[in-house]
Amino acid sequence: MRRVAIVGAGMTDFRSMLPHSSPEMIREAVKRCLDDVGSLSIRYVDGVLCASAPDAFDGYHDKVSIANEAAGAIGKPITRVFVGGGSGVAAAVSGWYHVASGLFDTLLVVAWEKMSPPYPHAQKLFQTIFEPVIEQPLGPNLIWIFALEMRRYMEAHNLSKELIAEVAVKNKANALDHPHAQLGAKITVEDVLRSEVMVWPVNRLDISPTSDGAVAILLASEDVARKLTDTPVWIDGVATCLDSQYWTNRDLAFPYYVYLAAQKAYRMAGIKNPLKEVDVWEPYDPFTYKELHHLDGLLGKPGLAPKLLKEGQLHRDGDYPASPSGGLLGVGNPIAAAGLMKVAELYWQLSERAGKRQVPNAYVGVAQAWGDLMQVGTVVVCRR
Amino acid sequence: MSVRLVKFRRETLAGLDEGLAGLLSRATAEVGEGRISSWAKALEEVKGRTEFEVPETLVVTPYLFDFRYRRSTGVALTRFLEGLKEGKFVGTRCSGCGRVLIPPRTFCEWCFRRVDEWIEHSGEGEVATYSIAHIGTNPKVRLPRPEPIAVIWFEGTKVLRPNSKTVAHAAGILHRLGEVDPQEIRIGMRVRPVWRPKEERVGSITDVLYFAPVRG
Repeated sequence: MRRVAIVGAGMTDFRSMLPHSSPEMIREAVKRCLDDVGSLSIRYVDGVLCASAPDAFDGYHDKVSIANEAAGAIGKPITRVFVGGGSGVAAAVSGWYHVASGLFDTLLVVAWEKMSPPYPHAQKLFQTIFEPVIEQPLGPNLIWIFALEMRRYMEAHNLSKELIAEVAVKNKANALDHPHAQLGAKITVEDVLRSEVMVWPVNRLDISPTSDGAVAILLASEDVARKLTDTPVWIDGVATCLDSQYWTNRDLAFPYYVYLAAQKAYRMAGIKNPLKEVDVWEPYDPFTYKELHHLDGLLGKPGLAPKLLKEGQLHRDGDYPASPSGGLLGVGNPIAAAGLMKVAELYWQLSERAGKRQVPNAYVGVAQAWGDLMQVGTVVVCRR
Repeated sequence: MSVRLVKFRRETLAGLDEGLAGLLSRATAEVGEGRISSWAKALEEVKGRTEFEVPETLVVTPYLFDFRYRRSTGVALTRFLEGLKEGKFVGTRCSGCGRVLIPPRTFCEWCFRRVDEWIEHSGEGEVATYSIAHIGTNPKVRLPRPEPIAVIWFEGTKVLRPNSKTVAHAAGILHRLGEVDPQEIRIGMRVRPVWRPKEERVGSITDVLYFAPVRG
């Protein structure tokens, strides 16, 4: 199989109620991505892989067709991947399959989400991801399952809400340096604890916002990548792993599926000790505790991430910088686009294009997303 | 601020198929002025910031997705729902790994084999995790009284993962807790189902009102 590189990335602002249509957002992200590769013509793109979460957000079935024209896919193949919140990173993983296989020399990976149209709130659509016969009749809200998982996680490692709230403080502060961020802010742990309780132990500021936005990256095979750029960022490990959809039958304290996906991706990338070898972490952080929970899985050590947070090691200047982009909590959470934003951040970090967000000496990075009903782990390992 | 809401004219609707006209006029009425001030505010904010062209006037069109579903529940869940009517939890047991499966299925995802041994469980068990909901499906509406919810693991069904404290499997479901002060709830607390009176049960998960602590 061939080595695959990210050779460019682009994104729109993440905003609630972005006044553009979905195709306009996609086109803008794609244009910025191609401009990043020295104004590459769309003619040199062999195919498109796209990701977007439930059709119901756009209120438009078969929404892959939204991307056809806007992603420049006319006369080429286009494929959509969808594993809920994990879609953004799953798109990069599937994109890797396409190029590594030898069938595509260049491939555009695009992810977008427009969550603002559903009214009164996109949350009502999330209800439909619950099992329809014995869960939906209970009138659940998506935040319920996060609160249940967070409580179990807190119990397993005796974690305080104060400590978990520090993830929001860190990520929103990191996002102040991100030009496209929706919720960059200087806040305190007190602000998080005093924000409205949604589903205890989850407060409003523990949650990432609903957003509109699009992200695009360009993948290329090794020989093409070397022609297109001096700073390719290699995708050296990819993996996805599932757990059971019967989430009430599982222990939610540790994301075993994220652990298994990460182990597989490390093996592929030749990483033996991720704690020593990885310089930048972009774990999926739709909720504060999720960053820690996922990082536990990525590090392979239950309960380690909260300890590192306490020591200040997850900050941008720490030994294990996590979500230096600002993550979903700071940059915003247009679902599929948010996952791909994490992969784009690795590209920016590892090619030293991250500006004020730059983590010094970043050579190896890991991005991860998670989704469906809390059981999909998608992981990529990148290296400069 | 220039945000315009599209409304359908009466003569437009008159020319349409009755069902569609009804849907469109309901969409206009029910979606109404929905969040128009928020859209205007967002547009104002984006105008100063975003690098790419924004529309001068933001036009917002109403849309209503009007659909109803009837689902056949299949072999396993049908027996489960019939069991609820009788005040018991029906599950299956895999002859390969020995796991008790509730919610029941007719196949085991671990052994990937057919499962056809049916069992009944009283529903007594423990709180695997819990939380207190202050909102239902609409996050903008606060519940009049916060509701404790929980994942219940049924007694005698836990399978521990070797060499670790984590649970690899337990038969269990999502439900509400009742007859308990939220402050008192603990992970591991023993609970039992509280059923609706038999004549009121319809074969739905709501035939169980909630799970209550086992006292004494």
